[in-house]
Amino acid sequence: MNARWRIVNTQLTRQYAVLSLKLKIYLIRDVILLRLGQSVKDAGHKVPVARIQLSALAFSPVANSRKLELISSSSDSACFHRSHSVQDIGLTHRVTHTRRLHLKSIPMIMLSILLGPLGNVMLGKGMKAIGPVSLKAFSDIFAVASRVLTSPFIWLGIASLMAFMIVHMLLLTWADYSYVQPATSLSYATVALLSYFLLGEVVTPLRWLGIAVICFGVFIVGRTAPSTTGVFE
Amino acid sequence: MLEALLFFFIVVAGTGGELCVSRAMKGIGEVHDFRPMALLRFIGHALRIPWMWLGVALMALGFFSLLAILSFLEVSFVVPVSALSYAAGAFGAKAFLGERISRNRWLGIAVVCIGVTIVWWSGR
Repeated sequence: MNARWRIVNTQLTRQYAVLSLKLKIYLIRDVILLRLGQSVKDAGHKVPVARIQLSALAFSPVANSRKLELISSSSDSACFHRSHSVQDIGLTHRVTHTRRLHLKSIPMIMLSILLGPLGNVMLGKGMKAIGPVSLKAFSDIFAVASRVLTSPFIWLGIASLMAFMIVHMLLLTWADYSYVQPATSLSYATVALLSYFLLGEVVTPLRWLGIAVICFGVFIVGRTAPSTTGVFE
Repeated sequence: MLEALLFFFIVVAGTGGELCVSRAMKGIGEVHDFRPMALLRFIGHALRIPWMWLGVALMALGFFSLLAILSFLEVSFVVPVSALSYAAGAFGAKAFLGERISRNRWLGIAVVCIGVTIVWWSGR
């Protein structure tokens, strides 16, 4: 995904006429990295600034921290060694879209915490109908495989899991991973609810406690800022 | 014993597969062009990386293990226990991708493990 941002900062404009930055957003596993390829123009000549790196997630409109850190790797441009908040910097489409993003994020999150568990429950229903898989002989694999592949519930489950993946990836194109992941921790509760209502499984209070603890743990994992592995070359 | 083995496949093979795919994708780099032909070329490129094949094979192993275990265990037991993949993911990312894991993240993973232990105690 590419986006163009124009950054005109009052402090920077004292030294540099225009700071025009091209922003690239990288999504690598759970880390969203933002990297800038920059062209900095001085009043007269181009200033060789080696690389400007943004702290991860800085730009995302749903981010908690709105700190944007400009770090230069060359020592002779020490003027970049400071943090600016997004408010200081004239970013196009910055916070104005937050409300609109929330309006579309929340239904998408609800859809994703429904679709993922629904997929697992459907797989469970399909496999329970087939019965315990026993692989006594090698030829059993084909018998089991043909029953698995002809079960409508298995295909429904696979479709639901694929829809979940698509919704999840779409969500991550505009929302922070650290915003999405704590919210999706609720899917462990949904799985218990759906398996109670759709499969008639007995969820004991102790199991509910365990599920609540897991949700809390996933929530903590999601609240930690995804740390970057440094400059990606 | 069979359950433990299947859970091991779900957690370790599933996470290992994701790590391999992630490593293969990093090798290719960012996708700029979303036209159908470019995407086909991208897929063609991805399929030439051995890590991709290993990753897909491991993810398939994880998925079939999930199917097998769901044939005799409850969904409300299997899915919470498979949350152990958070721990596997953190160890894998540290060892395999060289990511740094913050103290709070370890804390969250420890809480997930406690929750899994409680679910395990609750019986099948």
